[in-house]
Amino acid sequence: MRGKRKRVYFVCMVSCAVMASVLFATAGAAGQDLTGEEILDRIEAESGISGSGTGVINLITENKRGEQRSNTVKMYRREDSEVEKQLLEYLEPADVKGTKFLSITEEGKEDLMYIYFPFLGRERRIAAGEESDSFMGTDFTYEEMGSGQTYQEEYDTSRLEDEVLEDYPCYVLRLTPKEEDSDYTYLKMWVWQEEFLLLRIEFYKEGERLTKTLSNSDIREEEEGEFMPHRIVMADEIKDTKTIIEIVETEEEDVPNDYFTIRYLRR
Amino acid sequence: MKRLTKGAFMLATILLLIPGASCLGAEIQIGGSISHSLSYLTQEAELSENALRYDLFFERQFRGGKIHISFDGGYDSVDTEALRPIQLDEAYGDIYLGSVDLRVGQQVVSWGTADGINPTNYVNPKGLSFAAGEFKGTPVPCLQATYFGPMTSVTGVVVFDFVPQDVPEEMTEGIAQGLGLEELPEPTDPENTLGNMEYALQVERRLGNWDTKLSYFHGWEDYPALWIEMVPGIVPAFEAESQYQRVNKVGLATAGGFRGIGLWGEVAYNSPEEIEEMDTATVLLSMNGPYLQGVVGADYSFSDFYVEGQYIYYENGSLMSPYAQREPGIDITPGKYVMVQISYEVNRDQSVRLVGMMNLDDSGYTIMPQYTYALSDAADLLVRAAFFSGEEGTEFGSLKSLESVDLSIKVSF
Repeated sequence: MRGKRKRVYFVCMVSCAVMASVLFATAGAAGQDLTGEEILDRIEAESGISGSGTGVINLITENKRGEQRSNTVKMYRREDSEVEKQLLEYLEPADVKGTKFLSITEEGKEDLMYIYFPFLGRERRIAAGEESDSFMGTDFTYEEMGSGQTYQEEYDTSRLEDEVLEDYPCYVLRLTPKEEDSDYTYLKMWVWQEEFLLLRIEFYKEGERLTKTLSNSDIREEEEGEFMPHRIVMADEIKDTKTIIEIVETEEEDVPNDYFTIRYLRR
Repeated sequence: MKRLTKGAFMLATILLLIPGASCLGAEIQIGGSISHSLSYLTQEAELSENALRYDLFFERQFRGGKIHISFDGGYDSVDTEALRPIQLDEAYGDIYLGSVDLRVGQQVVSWGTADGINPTNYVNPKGLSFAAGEFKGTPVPCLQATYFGPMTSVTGVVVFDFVPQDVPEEMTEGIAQGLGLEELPEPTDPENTLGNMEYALQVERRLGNWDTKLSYFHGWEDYPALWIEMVPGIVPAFEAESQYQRVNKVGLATAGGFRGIGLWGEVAYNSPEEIEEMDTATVLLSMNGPYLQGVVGADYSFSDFYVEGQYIYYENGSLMSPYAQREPGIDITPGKYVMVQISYEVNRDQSVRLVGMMNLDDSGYTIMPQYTYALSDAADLLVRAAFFSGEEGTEFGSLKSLESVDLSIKVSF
């Protein structure tokens, strides 16, 4: 039971990343003489992780032998003023199908997190855990997932020489942590100039040691002219493992409040 | 029951096989699992289980509700009577009406906030082992209606026909042997009258950061009351008596969190109706007066670890037996336990879990380690063991013969 629960925890965080990547993709036009801070501003000001929507993702973990495991998750998200609500429902694999995870985060209050197991027939309130924890056996950490909103708060930014990454002309930024106790010595970030879309982040530790790489790829233009990555890969360069998120579908829509209730969990 | 099982199975089959099944079948969710498990008793040096188990469910959502039918069964070559080839698990229909959700049919009503041991989970009879299914309880035919208000929800349950919990054969034999009796009597089931139905009510509301549930139950104890009377004569004889006992229960359960730590508590005040004959009994095995049951616990996740602890209080005695032998006027020693669970996710394929429980009165304890390896997305290999320690005659000490190592493979679909 606990093993399944951990998978659910993980996907909750992943959904934030997916939503963030969707929203990062909505950034506007390019600028040539922008500073590093201004580029981050452009990404963050226009993305501002907010709004409501649904999505289906395939979450694939790959070990160093290249063997993969896959979960398919439907997610619902709603954000009203200072309350963020998220519901995840496992569609596959069979042994966790029907498991639902509800989290309600409100500014200044303890997070509400519930997990519903079909075999148990009721929800359980669960502990939120430490935000700085890494994710059990996966390649993401809580911090990495939440960092999209806090780069400017946590890092000093400088521009490096522009590069072309897989045919995308990119701004390249170096982010150096403001605090000495940061997990990383610095981050290197590639941002597509035209759409201010985050394409790649490299995480360095202990000087120049590359530990992880986050890549956004399979970029498609959506109906409303926005560009969106449909594949997000976090590769652990030390362990030689990967976590892959394939976005099957996303939709910006008003998700009723009813979805984020105990009542819906029990249905 | 057999007829109901067969009927329900036929219904599910028909739903799938009628013309247009490809269309209809697409709307029906089918799932389940098959497992094969071996259990080896280390003290006895013998195989105690070689069992194939399965469970199967059919579910169809429709506008304003859903239908759910599930079955389970299996075959154990070591104990061929242990499992039935097929039995109905749950079969219910949901109807969603505005602010009210109805669930009617054979179902499990799951209440409480604690992990696994829930004194306020009144409705379904529960077994005495630590198997997951035992905690869940036996499905019973009933009607459940929940009103969801803006801040408060209220659930009412009516169980039309009391379903008792079977006392394990080994337990009845052990008790009879201990008392020098040939066998224990079978109690008579309560008549199927309106007055003998069971009712339960639960009011739920969040108070601050705490999900709080106040509940009430009027019905029957899962296990029959048991006592021994002396039959006067030249040579006095002893006779066992058994009877199902009415009970009223009031409970409070709550769950919340503080700085990332999950916290919960659950308490039930149980008030069985006194059985007059028990006042003059020579030996009592059941409670004939009110008693408390409670659980408090906390859990915390960090890195790849999950840690949980619970304190369990059973004023009626043991967690693992509804019976405690004593003379009239002598109080039962309440059962007090600490339960700890630690699990660690080694990587995406492997996890280990350790569950331990200690009886605080006699310091007897059990440790149950478990290792899980995910063979594929839908197949798990499980290796687990159960060890018991304690003085002879103590609760856990007397279970040493059940020390086992189990191996199972489960495939879900």
